Amino acid sequence: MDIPTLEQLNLSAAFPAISLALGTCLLLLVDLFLPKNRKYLTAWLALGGLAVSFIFNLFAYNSSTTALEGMFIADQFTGFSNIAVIVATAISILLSIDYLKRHQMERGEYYILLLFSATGAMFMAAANDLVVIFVALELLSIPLYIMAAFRPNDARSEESGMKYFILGAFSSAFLVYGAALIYGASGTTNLTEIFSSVEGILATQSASSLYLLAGTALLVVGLGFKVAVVPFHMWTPDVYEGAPTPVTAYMSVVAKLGGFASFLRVMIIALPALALPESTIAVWQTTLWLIAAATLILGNFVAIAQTNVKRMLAYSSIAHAGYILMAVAAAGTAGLGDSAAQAALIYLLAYTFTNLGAFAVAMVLEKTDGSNVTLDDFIGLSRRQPLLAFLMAFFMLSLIGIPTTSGFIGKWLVFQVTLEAGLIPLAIIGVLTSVVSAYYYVRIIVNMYLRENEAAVGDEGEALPGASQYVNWAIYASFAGTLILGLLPVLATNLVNTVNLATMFPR
Amino acid sequence: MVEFTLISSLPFVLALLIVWPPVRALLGRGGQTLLLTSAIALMLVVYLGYFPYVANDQVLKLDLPWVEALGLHFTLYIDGLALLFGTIVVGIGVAVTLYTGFYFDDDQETGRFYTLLMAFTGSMLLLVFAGNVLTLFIAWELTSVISFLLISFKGAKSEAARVGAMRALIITGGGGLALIAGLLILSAAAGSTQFETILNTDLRSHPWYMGFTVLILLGCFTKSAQFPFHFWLPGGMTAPSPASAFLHSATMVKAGVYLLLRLEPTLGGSALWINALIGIGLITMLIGALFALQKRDLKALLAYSTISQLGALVALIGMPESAGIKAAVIGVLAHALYKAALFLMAGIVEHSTGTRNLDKLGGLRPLMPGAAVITALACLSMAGFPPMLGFVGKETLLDAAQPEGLLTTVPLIVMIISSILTVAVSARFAWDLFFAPAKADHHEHFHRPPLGLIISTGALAFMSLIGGVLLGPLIVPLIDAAVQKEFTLYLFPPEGLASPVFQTSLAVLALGGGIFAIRRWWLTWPDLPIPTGNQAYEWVIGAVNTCGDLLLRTQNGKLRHYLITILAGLALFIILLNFALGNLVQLRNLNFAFFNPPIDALRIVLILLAIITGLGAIILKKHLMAAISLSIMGYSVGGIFLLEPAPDVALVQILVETLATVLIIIMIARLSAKQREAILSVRFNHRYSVIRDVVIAASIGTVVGLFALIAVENRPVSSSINRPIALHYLQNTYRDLKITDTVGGIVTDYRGTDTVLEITVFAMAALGLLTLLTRPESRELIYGKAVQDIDQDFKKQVRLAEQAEREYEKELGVAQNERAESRMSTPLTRKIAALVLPFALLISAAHVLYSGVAPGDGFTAGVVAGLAVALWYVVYGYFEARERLNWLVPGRVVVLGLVLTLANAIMPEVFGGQFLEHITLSETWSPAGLHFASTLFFEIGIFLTVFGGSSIIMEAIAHPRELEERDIE
Repeated sequence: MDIPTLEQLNLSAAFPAISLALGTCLLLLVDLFLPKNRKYLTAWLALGGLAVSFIFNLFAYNSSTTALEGMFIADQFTGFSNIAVIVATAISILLSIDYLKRHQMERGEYYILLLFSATGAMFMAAANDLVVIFVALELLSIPLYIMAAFRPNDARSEESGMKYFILGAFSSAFLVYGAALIYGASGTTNLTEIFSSVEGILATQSASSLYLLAGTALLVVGLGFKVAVVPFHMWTPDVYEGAPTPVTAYMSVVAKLGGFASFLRVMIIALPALALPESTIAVWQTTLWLIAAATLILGNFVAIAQTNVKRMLAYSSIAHAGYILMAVAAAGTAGLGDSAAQAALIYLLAYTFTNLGAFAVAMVLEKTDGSNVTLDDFIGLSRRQPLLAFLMAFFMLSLIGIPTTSGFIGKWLVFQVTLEAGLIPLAIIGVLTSVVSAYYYVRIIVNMYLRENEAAVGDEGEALPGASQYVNWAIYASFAGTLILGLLPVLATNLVNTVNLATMFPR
Repeated sequence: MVEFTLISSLPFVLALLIVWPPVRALLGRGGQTLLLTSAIALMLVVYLGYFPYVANDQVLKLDLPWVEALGLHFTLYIDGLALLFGTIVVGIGVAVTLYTGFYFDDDQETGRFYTLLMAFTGSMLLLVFAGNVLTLFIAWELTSVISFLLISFKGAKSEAARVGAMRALIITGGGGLALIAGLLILSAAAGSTQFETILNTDLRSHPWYMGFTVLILLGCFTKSAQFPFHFWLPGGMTAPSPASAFLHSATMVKAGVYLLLRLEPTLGGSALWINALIGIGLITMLIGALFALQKRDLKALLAYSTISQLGALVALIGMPESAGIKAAVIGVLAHALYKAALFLMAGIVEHSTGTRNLDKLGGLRPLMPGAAVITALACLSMAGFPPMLGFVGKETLLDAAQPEGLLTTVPLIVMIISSILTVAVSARFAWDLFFAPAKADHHEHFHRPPLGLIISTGALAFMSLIGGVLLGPLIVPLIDAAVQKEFTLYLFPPEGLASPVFQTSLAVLALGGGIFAIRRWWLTWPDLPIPTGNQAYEWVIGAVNTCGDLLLRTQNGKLRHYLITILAGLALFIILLNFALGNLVQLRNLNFAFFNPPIDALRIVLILLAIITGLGAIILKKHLMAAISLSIMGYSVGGIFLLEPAPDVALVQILVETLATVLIIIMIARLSAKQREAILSVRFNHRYSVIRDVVIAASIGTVVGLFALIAVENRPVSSSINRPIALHYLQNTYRDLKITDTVGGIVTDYRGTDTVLEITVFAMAALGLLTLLTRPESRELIYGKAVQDIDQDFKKQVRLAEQAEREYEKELGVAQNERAESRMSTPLTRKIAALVLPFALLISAAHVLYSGVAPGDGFTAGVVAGLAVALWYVVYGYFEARERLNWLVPGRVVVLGLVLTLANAIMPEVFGGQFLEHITLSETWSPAGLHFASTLFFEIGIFLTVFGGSSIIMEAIAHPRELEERDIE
């Protein structure tokens, strides 16, 4: 095997992700020399690293090329996912600075783990190879396991990390098994090459088609776990509740970003032709839309029964995974791959802003012992904190998908592509579960605005244990994103206008 | 058109302006009232001026790309119908805006209300002018949300008010989502989201007609408070009166009616349309009128009467051949005028007397003569008294419902009954409030309403009169623009009194008056036992909650259940996918000819044993028993391998099984008595969980087994050698490598790179465990230090903890001989253990040395030695074992092994060979059948890594640090 030259590797196309990885390694060194009481400097340096990556991403944004011997694709899809990941990570860092200090867990490794995980998500979005997807998935996940258990001497945090780790390792094994079976069937792990071999395999009707099929199912399990769709969702509420809140906020969006980006790439680039003869609809579409429907129903209904807002948001995140999965399922209809990918990307960005905002508000109320985040703790918030209550209400409306919020744009696009794919029952389930979701989101608004706190209102300082300047920045940034995307969706849609997973490579 | 759009966006601009407190402060209350009222009045004038442009079915259009790439447009589509509704919105809006300026006592509230009011006006205009599905939907949901904010404007003081506000939002907002689903499907059917295209497409025969029509009707019916969704409207009466007048009678609740009118040319006329609209409309009309009759609360009475009117409008739109459109349009206008006036009047009465309860009110005429006249006018219009506009509305209504057969007389009868009841309701409102004798003395806390309130209310009421009297010049042009059909409109029929419709109208008035006269008799009747949608709503909400609770039970926090779910899901998906791809993979084509092993007794016994113990692992009730059963299964499988014959694989299988068993035993020994109790006790009680586990295990087993079968049948054929790889290896190992053990050859040479990587991963995992399983403080104490350096204090702590543990066990009644440690540490076991380690090392050495010619290799050697170490920890206990194993520093062993392996792989490259090149010496020198080659060092490296790694694991698990934190209270 010839060792490729640097030019052949085309590193510059992959620079947004690579620069973040390098920056993180550098940060690991720098952190050693930072005194213990000034670890917040690591946070600022981490933000700086993200900014550098962001700038590189701008340069690479509209490229349409591969790097690292075809294993890495630099295109608009990658660029857009990178933006979402960088923004989400930056907001999470802002959320963390004060939180870590209050919980006596201020350690520089935290930010380094966060950045490594973000790097993993970026590689996942760009991966054009099953092996890279697996490695990137692990790079994304392992720091998350550790961060989930980051709160010292807190059994719930440790339980959260342990559960996440065991189940995560388990489902990663499925992913590898699936990749191996697909490799066995097609003789390649490169997504583009898998695509070109699928038809041939199906034509022979040999055992290889079963391998391809089973491999696909196993990939769905592995990726489905990462993005938390039913029935691979069960870890979500336990982990979200136990993990430190900024970590929960982070993993609720970035793990989904990475997971869905890979999901879309695998399904649209590699496996769209996995179809019955004479059919233009991929066989996995049925499975995915059934999963999506189950996810929507379970996520939304169980969220109703929650009293802890973090847990409620966990189930809501399961439900939102269901909406995004609607778009993935729609991609199974021939010709809809690109519009499905665009819809899913915009939904993800919209969800990123909104969900980070919601978690940030919950974090502001949360006390150091993890209490004070039940529904009842939101009672009368509009009197005590009118601005915070307004922002929370806005985030809730966006999660429902009310117009002028970003959530609406996401839902609109997803429903549209689902209908175009002819999945009318799924679209109707989506709409009906949105109604159900209104029930529990509005409950928070009702508590904030329509109910008076019977107990005497504590002094202002006690009422907002988690408030700090940085957290406020994070909330304002989330609000701005949610609002701007809702009013001027053209900004986001222009960013994905040439996403062409289905047509990038000559077939 | 651009001017029109700019003018129409004025309310939004004003809302944004007065949302800022400084602007509010600058303007003051009077300034705000003046500015907003004149702005809305200006809009009214402009809109009226635009009517000529939309006459004769002309349409004004504006199309701005919003998100062009995805086909989202911001489009306005203004025809006569839209402009009429827009005019109603701003017309009523002028009065409501003026009224608001005098209604609130608090300046702050006025400002807040104005902001919402302007935002609502803008949204409502957007709704009626919307030119495509999306624009309409956005406006639709905006009005729902603002309505919610207005209902909860004063803060919901009571639980009932909260429920009401939430109910209104869920029903109208939810209906909106049904609407968007319907509209999207409609757009897909019509091929465009633009109304212009949709309205010019006949969709009545489209295959999806049923689906989208039902969804759209759901949206319209919820918004326009049709039975069975009508109950949210009375619940929304906690809103301030101007909001009730504007949103909940004149405009927002008419949005559904508007959309029905808008889509009637495209969707109307089908059986579904006619039956649904007339059926639901009539029920709503009747129920609304009936419920309104007995209400004591002024606003509740008006709310139910509004529901009744909305029902009438919906029924009219459903009339076949668009017969009722004229009546519906005029009905919308007439109703908006008189009902808004009455709601505003209810606000005035409450403002002046402090109550809205008819039982406490009465005789207000001397106090408020002007209000009495206004109320009388509005009520006359509502009752349909000539020459009011309401009379025209009632006449056209009855005219449209003229029967053509027996069946169609039903609508007419229902409409007549409802109209009679409405007359009685109107009379109650006007008469009982102003003219009947007072039931309480209002003079004490009465205060005169501000003139602004009276003027704004009066304007609306007088419009009802003027509209009727000057029907031709004033109203007809508006209706003419809105109704596409030819029509005639008159106050008094040309036939005069001979007209049957006119006679019916008069009869209705008389009968209504009669019913009103005997009100003392029926007013105290109990409420009619008609099921309202509210019970259904409560039921649905309850069911939704129950569903949530039931689904919640799937989430019990137990890891093993989560794993079960993942496995079950996987099995399900593979089965599903297989069905989907059914005719591609035909399992019956499988050829079992290859599967032809010699059948003998031992084989059968081992297979049965594996199956039985596998089942045992699932159904045995104690954890320990299940674990042991699992190990026996592993040994049986090892035995089967041995018979195959695959001695290498069998060896590894048996050793790994032993290692796992030993690990379990050590862990059980290390657990506290309480935890041990839990692990040794029954692990489940539920019979069903056993069945479930068996089913899941069986399906996963089947799936994996299937893969295996197919894999065996389709043995991979290497393209370069063109025959099964296994055969190739078996035949060529000796030629290539000069060794006889093919497995060893594969591991060390053919797939040598894989082995190098694997062993690296193994070493990393072991070192990772070292950090994961130890705490920093105890690591400093124990690892990497000779045992005599171990802190004596720590030892003491451990001893104390152990003692406490024993006492606790005594309390529990655990007999001494049942204790794991004491049972294991007897003189005999100690002797055996002392012998086992050297022997094990000897066996390991043999394995390594003969790896090239016999089964066994560095890996098995490492495991064997590791097992012996494990035995020491079990028998001697942690401290003694550490003392005896002082020479063993596992971390260093791992590193040494890894370095050796890597060096062996890289060395040849240094001397000009290839990576991992095989160098054999055995041809020149092979004492005692040994095989000397570079692979030997490779095997030694593997041995050291595995041995060190397993020692690390054993030490970490046997470490007594857990004792420190034992739960021994």
